[in-house]
Amino acid sequence: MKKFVQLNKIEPMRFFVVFCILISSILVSCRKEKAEWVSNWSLPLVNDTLNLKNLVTDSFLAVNGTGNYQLEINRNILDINLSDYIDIPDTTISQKYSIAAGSLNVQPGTSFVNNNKDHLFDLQGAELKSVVISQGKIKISVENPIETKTIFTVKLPKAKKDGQAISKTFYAPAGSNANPSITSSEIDLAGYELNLTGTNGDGFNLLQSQMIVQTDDSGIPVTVNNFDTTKFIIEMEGIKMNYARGYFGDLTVQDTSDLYVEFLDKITSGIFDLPATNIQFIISNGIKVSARATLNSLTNTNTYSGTSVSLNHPQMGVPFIINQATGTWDSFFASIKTILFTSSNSNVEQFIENLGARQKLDFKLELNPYGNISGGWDEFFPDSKLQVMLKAQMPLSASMTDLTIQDTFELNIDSDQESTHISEGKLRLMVSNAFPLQGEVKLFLLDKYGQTIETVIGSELIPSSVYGTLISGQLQKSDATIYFDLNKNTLSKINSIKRVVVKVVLNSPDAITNNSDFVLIPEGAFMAFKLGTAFKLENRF
Amino acid sequence: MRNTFIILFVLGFQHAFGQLWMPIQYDTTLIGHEFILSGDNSYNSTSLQNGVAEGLFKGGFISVFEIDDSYSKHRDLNRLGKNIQAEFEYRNYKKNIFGNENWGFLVKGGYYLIGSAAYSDDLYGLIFKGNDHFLGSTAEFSGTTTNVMGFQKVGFGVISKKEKSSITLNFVNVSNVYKGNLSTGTLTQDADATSIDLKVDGSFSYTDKNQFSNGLGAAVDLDFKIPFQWLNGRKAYIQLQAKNLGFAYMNQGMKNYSIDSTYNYSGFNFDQLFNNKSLFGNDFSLLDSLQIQTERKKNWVALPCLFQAGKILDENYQGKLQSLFGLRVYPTLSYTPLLYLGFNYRPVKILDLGLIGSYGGFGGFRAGFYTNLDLQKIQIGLGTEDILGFFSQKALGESINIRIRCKL
Repeated sequence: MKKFVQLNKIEPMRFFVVFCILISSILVSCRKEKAEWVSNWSLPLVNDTLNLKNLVTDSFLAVNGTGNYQLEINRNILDINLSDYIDIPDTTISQKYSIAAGSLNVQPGTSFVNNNKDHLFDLQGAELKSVVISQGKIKISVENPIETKTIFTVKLPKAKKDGQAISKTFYAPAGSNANPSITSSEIDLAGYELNLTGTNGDGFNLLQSQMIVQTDDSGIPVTVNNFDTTKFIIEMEGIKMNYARGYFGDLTVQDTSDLYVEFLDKITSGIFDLPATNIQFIISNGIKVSARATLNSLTNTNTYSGTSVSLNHPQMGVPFIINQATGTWDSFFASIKTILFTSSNSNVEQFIENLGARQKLDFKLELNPYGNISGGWDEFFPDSKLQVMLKAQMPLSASMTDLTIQDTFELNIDSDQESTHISEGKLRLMVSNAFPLQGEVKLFLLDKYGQTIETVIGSELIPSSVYGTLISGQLQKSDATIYFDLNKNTLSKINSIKRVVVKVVLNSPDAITNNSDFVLIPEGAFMAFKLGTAFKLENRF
Repeated sequence: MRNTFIILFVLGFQHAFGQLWMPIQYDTTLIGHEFILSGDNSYNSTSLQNGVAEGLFKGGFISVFEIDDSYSKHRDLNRLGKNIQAEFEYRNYKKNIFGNENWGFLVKGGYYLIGSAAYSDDLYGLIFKGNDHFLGSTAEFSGTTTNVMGFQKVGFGVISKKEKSSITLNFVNVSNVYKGNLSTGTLTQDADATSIDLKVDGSFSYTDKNQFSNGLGAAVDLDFKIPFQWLNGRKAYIQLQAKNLGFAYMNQGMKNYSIDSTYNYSGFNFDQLFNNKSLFGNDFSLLDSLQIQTERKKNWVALPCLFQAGKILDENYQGKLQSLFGLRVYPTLSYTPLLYLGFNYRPVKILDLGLIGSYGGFGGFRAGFYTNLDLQKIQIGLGTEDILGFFSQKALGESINIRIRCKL
């Protein structure tokens, strides 16, 4: 009571203020930390099924009589279009005319020039008589030095489309010798057939032109002298042909063709064994010109082992003649040459089993090796090509021993350990496997330098279907749930992980001996994945 | 003196402490000036125990035991509310307002953060335990609502010099609003977590701009003391109070998400992951995938107004025991009408002790206690609406009220 009386004597306002500040300071000093708790979350990540049905529709696979898949490889490995090698280069041609000497009085409406000329193209050994243009254009310009309006008619009598020759009329304004008037126009040449036999019809590489010049009816009389040169210029640009006839010359193409099979680069190690195998090289000549070809070499290189294997066969390195195609524009028949590579006449098994992702074909092709024996009647048509195709038909059967396939995925996670984050968890892979292959899955977590930070190994193998139960026909499947443990230690380094390497080690075990053996892939084989997470979330707010 | 007020005001914005339970005494003493600082910091729920709520509001680790214990208290539909407010008021009885010698004036200012939510037990389970808890079943969130608003006000009003009844017109600045509802919400999962079905129909709006002012408005505070005949021929007084009765226009706009869709997710396929760049590309939008509509709207919002009617204490009563009771309502929040009944005991002239029971509001039954020290010119009141909350982590609320009054 005594204390209260004493308090009461304190100046009230001062006490009020001091008390308020005191209470406020105490409350303000209560520092708030984040709320934290742990919850458990399971979410699906991937749900898909791998099968070979798409490859069947792509004519890569087929089902054979025993209900198993077989390889049906039919692939172009070389495609030569002759128009890439024989072409009419960008060319400028011109035709000039002036009277021989002295001067000439020209009344209005008088034609005073009618001049024909053949223009020669340099086609580097080819002697073409007729071509059809698929794309390209010409620009025609006329120059008038006459001091009255003048009419130029420029004709290409043997450049026709639908029977109509190119003919262009220009109304050129009056000009002078020092400053001739210039008029020009462009024509799209697509679809035009050019007869290159010249004015007489017995030449080659010759384009005929005609220039007619007359003064305008409504103009004035003028004097034309021998210094007045009328002129037209034709600029041909971007000419592509889809038909040509003539002698194509003794063209030689020597080149290499590189083929990269990306999937094979994901196989890093292991043994892949094939049964006896046949493959064919089919050389198809759709051009009416005889040729001589040489397959110098076909080599593949395994990126990981560094091993290169060259295909050996009696035909390799030995020139062979390819006959010309037969038929006409509408119906021509390619000439076919087949080279068969079997296990008995080549090392084709070893070549494929090398699993080389980088394939290199070295070839040489000579046109008209015996000269102009066709009498200048070589031809190619719009669809004419010289192709080399690889064709194989074999059971999809192989024996795999620790065949290792790996792929790398970029990862960039920014996890703040002071905020809500995943503290630990598991990836759960539920798999149903109807392939007769057994797989072990490993994850390698790499830092930005490519150094392995952690290795996460699946809790068990993806079991081969040979150990499973029958679904239908001869199709069996095995089910498994595989866990990948992502412990606290691993997840604490999540920010450092920049790449994940997924490595699958495949074997093709026999159900009884468990040793790798040749297996056949039954029709409808699939592998269904359901990848999900089961993790602890440390919530921090 | 002026600096002191500034300090007080600033401190009042940084935290909060409260007032609501403090006994308002009918005091007809004629005085010149009056300063009142009041504050409330309270939390209450039908189901969320303090072990969890303290972690949420104050920070710290919430254990699985606390989460599970609280979960067991949850029913199909649950409520919780949080009320933080600090208010300063100056009353001048010397001046005559509008030429009326019975009216003085008052100025006041305050900070308020008031929010409530109604939610299902499954929503609690999903947040605190994760979706593992619902594998092979359906979690139901329908009926979830939340409404949280943080605002400040300054006001000017007239006050009767004798009864201390007042009317105040306030200018309001709204800093934050969070408002949402789910009329339909279900999450169905299979037992091995390979498929999720989500059905949602609802919307959520919030002030996404992190700035002091997102909306402006006006509100009225009313405080009337009305005498009535009580037991034994005594006169008693009822206080009718309305606070923050008004609206604000969100002139900076609010971001609104609305969704009415059914979404099934069972994982991405390989094409989406490796070939179809849209999943990880710049054009991928989770909101679009979930068919969530986004828009920015400027709209009016109702302030979380309070209505309270109740018998208050008579400061001039000579006995030692007085009753107080009443009814309190927050009509815009998930708040059931709260009834309270209590007794005030005055062992000595300068000390009041009170015990109050209440039912309703954001929670259920609660027992409160207060003490008020009257040093003639200074009164200091300290109380709680939830005694159990001070002692038990299993209680369903916490509360601290404070009121300091200085008479000159």
